[in-house]
Amino acid sequence: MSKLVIRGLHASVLVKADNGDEVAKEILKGVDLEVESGKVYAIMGPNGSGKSTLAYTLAGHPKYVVTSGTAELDGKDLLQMTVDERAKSGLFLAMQYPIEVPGVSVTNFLRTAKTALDGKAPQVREFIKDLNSNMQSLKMDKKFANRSLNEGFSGGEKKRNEILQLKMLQPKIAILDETDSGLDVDALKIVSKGVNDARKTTDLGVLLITHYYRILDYITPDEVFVFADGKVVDKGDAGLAKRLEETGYDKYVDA
Amino acid sequence: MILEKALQSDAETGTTRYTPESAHALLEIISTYSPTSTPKTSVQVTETSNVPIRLQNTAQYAPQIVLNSQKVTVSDDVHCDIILQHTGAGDEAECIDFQIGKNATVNVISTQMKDENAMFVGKHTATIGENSEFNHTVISLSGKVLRLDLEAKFAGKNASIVAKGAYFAKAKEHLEHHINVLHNMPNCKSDVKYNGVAEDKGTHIVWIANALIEPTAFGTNTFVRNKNLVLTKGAIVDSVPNLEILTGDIQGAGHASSTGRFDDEQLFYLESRGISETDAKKMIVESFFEEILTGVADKGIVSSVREYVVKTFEERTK
Repeated sequence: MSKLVIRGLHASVLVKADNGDEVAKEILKGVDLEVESGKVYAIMGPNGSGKSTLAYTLAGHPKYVVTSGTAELDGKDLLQMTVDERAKSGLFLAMQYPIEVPGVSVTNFLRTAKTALDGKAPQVREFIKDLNSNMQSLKMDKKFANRSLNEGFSGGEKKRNEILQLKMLQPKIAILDETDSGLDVDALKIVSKGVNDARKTTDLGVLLITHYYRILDYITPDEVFVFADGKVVDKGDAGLAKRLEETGYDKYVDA
Repeated sequence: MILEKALQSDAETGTTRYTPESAHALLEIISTYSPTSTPKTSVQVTETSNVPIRLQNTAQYAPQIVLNSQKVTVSDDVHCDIILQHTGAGDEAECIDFQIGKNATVNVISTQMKDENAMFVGKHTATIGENSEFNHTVISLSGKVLRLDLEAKFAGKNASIVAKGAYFAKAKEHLEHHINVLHNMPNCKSDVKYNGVAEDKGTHIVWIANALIEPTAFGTNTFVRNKNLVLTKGAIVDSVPNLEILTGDIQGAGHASSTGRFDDEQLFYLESRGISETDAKKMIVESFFEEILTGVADKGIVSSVREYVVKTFEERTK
């Protein structure tokens, strides 16, 4: 049983001002959120409301600076940890735009990550068996294992590769940053099934960031949060997400 | 022999021996000394074989200077692997001319792992026959001054060349690679891709590639690219991709060059999966070589390059 607790989180991004100086622009303005294992939380909100900033801030991207507030995973202060230490404590971020790393194969990447997370190299046969079955269930061609990480992958292939990592690395809490964007219905079903499978086997807690209701048809949320202007402004059940699909975010943005 | 004399006198005076300029001067001499007309040795490859042909150098000891001038003729329909490994403390000047027939596949790998005070300068020329494939891979890892030029042209249509290279320059080494591809025949392809890593003040990388598409070379497809990773301040990289297109009727032509430090986004991606910063950086350095080693058949070479790269990087981060 794991728990991610976020209290009063403020974070800024460094942007270049007109005069060339780097200035901090506040994006997160006091986020309060709790994510428990075994449950699914959807975060919905308009463009520019800070959803992705929340995801990257928790994962420790150097571009974002936390100015106040706390984020703890099972009582341990995430914000004091390096990026790899956050992963080792059980946090996973499925990125909206996975990065291409030419010359690093998917297999080599996953084996290195697994070794780092477990503190020892995985058994070769077990690892390959695991990799093959997970790739098969995500309908990824075997050839992907030897291809350079994300290089030349289509948008859908990149997202499947993120979920492959989620299944192989078995984190406690996963943040899915717009994993549904750019996916056709078939790919959306495959990716959603991947997430649900991971939940079944590891009691994973999921923070699912999305613009659209449609992924929630496949991954049922326990709670839905509305994000606007850098903080949570409303919460409810799946019904809230459905209503947002019709009404949009206007009432939160104008408020 | 003109070249041998030049090298000898060069060694005697010792004044310009270990400079990039002397490498240039040697290359000038090599250029006038054509292996096509007066090769020291001549190799005829008339049959396909699984066993690679090794054109070994003998410049193991300083102040030994070795000239290697060879003509390699590959017959029609032959598939062959040619391995050149340049090692040791002696200086070397090398001139190799590849004459490739029709429907042939020729894979050449040339590794430069000279002792730290040794110099290597080489020129490879290739004439590629109709429907033939020429794969030329260069790995330059150590030596005071290394320079290797590749000049390729086609003798018939539908032929292709893949010219790949990777280098690791450090400790004031001068590593220079020139690649010239002359597209003189229709529907030929060329793919030039060099990756490099540089560290330490006074280290100098020069990379110059030229793809010239002549008016007769319609249907040409070419891409020329170079990327360099700079690990420390003070290393100098000169990267010059050239493209000259004299016909509009081509399939594609592109060139790209980038030189910079570690990519923050790539490091973040790797680290976000639990990989430490040091290991992530090591993976990126290795990746520059892995991209080039793909397709190199000789397992011994691949593992010795990997070992060298990891060792060199780890020594640095100690």
